[in-house]
Amino acid sequence: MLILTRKSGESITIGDDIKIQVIEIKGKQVRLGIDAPKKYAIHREEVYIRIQEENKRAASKAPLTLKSIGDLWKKKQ
Amino acid sequence: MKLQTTRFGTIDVQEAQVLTLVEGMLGFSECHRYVLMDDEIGEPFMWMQSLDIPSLAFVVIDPAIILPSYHFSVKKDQIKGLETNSVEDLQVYVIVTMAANILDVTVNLQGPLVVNKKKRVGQQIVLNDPNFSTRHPLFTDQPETETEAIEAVRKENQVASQRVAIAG
Repeated sequence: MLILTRKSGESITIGDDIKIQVIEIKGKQVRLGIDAPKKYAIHREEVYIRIQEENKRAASKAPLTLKSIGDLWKKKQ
Repeated sequence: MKLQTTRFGTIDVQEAQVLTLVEGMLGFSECHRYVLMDDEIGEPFMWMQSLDIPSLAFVVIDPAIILPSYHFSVKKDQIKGLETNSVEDLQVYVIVTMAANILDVTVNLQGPLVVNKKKRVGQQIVLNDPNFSTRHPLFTDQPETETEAIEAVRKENQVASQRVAIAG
């Protein structure tokens, strides 16, 4: 991994079209501004991973039939 | 076209029924084509069957049925792939995670699937709002804070009739 030291207000660029700027450093938090083409989805990593893992769980637990959940739902109504 | 599936045997899918997820579901980026299927015995739950992997299917449901206050806002840029700026074209689904004990079933409110009904394209949206859980209990009582938070988001956006609002 490439490691660079930056001050508040300074940036790094990646390729021709991505720029990441350090907006503010406050205590243990860093605010970043990211300029990138719309084709790149940008996410907080932990949220992205959580949804990815939940999708895998949902796929692996998908039942053969929806009868039990359908029955329970109807009973609750 | 005829397709072999693990759960439903051979199914006949018309091209017009195919739902294309350009980016795929997170973690399943290689699967782009699905079909949404009603299931009489499982109503109001539905299937989202992959056309690429016979065994891959997600259980999904319209959140309006299970959680009428669920509502979120997305930026235009975020849903560029859905080819519309009109919320009327959009239908939201949430992914259901089943459990050994049926009472432990959860829904993923943080990663909803948004579909352009007219063009049959969809996208899983990542919501950064920490008040939305990926494992929201479907049957057991919800923690109050979460329900309140969802309510607060709804009020903030002032679009009670729509699941999703498009901002900026």
